Amino acid sequence: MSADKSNKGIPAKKETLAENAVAAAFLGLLAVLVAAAGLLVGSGAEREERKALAELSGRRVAPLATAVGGQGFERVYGLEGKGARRYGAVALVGTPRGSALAAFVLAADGELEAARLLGEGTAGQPYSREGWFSEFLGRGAERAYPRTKAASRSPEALSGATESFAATADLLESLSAAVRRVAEKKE
Amino acid sequence: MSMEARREPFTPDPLLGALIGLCPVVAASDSLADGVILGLGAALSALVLGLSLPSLKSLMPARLRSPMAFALAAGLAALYGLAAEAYSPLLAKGLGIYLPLVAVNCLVLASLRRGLRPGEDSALGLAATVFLYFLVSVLVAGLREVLGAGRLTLPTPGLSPRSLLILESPPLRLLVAPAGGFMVLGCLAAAYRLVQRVRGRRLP
Repeated sequence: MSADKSNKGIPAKKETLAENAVAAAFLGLLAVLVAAAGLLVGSGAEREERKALAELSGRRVAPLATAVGGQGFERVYGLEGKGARRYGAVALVGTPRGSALAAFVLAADGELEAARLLGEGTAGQPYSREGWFSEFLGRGAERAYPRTKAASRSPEALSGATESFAATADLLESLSAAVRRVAEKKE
Repeated sequence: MSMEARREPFTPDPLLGALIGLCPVVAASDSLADGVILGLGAALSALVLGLSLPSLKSLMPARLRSPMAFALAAGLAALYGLAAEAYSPLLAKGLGIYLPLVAVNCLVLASLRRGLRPGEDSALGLAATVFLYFLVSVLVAGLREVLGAGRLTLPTPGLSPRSLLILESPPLRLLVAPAGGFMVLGCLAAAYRLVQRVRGRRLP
């Protein structure tokens, strides 16, 4: 009786193993597909970041980036050229008034040397308006903030500037620390 | 309002009629661009699952069908999220967790259940359902953004989504908040039900 049972169990076990193997292969294929798509999108984003940093700094971007995974940024690039070494990153800064993608160039001691707005989105935020980021970061540029004394008194302008200031200060603090860490490792 | 009209095949709108798949529409779709991206994600996932599962069913053992179907839904949502990130990084980052959550959208789950059951719904019926879902999610998002923020953000590719200013001072800023999503959806659902009642159709 017990021998019969074990004989019946063998083909059933084999069938189950085959089913499990098919399911595992299917899930593996799906995982490979998602990973390949992730790599493709990641490499496209890295190419865009390199282009933006080369344009902003006028230097050659080092072939290898350092993955840092900071707040709003993922990689720090070395910028090669004449003079002291510089570092660059493309970071996302966001507040409830909007989000902006900007390129930053920093010295090895973490001091910000240049920044350029690459794009900004204000989708769905009723109190946001185009230019909230550039108006803060672009002081002394074409549209300096505050443009007039009257404009700076409006609560909307004041709170918007405070929020973008706080968000940008947080980001720069984190980016500066990441650059210092990368620069120390290189030395 | 004849009896024949009532016997016509009828696909109720999943959002306004059946009130399923509300999460991305009322919580996250506060701009036209967000509505298009989330609505398209849920609609495409539901369509692909609904069409592929009946044929994949024969390859899957019965005990593994549900987990494999869920894995497929998660994989589709991940692929769609990556495609959205490549298309418009700022819009994708703004949507955050709502993009992967497309995998567990009720429309997608309903489509998954239909796909695993024998002889449920035709491909045409499914296509009509997901198209209606997409259309209504775009309509709700567009109305919320115009009346709540005074502008329309277009889902343009690249780093900066294009925004059109429609109203200098938006009349109902509340509509951009999640509560506003329920208000717009409630008004549209009431209008939809009224039209269906006039046409002699009873909604569940």
